[in-house]
Amino acid sequence: MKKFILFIVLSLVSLSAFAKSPNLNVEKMFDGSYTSNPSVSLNISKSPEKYFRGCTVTDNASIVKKITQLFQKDLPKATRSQDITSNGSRFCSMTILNNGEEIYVGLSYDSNNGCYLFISGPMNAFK
Amino acid sequence: MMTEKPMMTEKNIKDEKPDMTGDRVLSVAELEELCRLYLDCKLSVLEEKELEYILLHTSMTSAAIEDVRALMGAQTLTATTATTAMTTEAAKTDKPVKPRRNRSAIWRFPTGIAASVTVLFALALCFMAPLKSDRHGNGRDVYITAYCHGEKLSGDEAVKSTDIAIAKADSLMNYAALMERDNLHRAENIISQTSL
Repeated sequence: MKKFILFIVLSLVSLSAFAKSPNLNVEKMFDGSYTSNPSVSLNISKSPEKYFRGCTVTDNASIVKKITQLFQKDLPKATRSQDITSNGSRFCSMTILNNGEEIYVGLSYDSNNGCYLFISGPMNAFK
Repeated sequence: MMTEKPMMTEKNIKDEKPDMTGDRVLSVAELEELCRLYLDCKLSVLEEKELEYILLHTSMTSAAIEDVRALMGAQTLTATTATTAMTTEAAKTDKPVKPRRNRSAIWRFPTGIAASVTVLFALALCFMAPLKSDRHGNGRDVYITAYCHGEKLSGDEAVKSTDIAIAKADSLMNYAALMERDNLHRAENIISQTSL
């Protein structure tokens, strides 16, 4: 019995070690430190299929700058990335592979010191 | 010279325990009384040994006797005769009682596995289930949290705000996909033109 329980526990531990979270820098925007910031609006939606987080910044250049830095830090992890500038607006995106699933990170800049950051992907990608 | 007395005789008189000598056969009631004392931890180590010996060699059976037998791990030598044995209660009603099998050993392993799996499953559910307060109220298993300019939104406001945010993200992703496709087409066109 003890051997069986030990086997189950070890299996769970090895499984949890195999399934690692992506640890993205942009996720710091959703750690709770910006919930009371008047320049920031946050949206989090979690379902068994999809995990979505969105962060809208309005008229705050310093936060926009910080998000840009966090985004840049995550770029080396990306398997694919885009930087599109069109009609005065800019949109950066990257795709990160984790646990065999794709995480999509997008960052859209507004003209008024604002931006919109979102992280979206299947739930398994974040476990 | 003292004659060798049965170990429990004198003590039994004091403690009102049934006689455990081998001189006479104990009745089922007496044996049950001993079993009860055994379960109450009122027997000495020696008396327990004697009881174990008796249980090992007797064909008498009852629920209490079988319990103690199972507890001691003693296997009755007269298992076949036990099938026709009668319990004290059954003796009153003259109904034969099926002997109780020692099922604990048989069921211990599968029961242990089932218990372990249940515990692990329950733990997994506890860890994976999100907080109820975050639950979206329309029956879907979607958990939504929204803050707008530093204030937490609740109920429909949170749902609406998040739906808008998701729609915006989707449109941006579609836009990026279209741009990527356009760029690929352009690149292919340029390559085909230069190769001609």
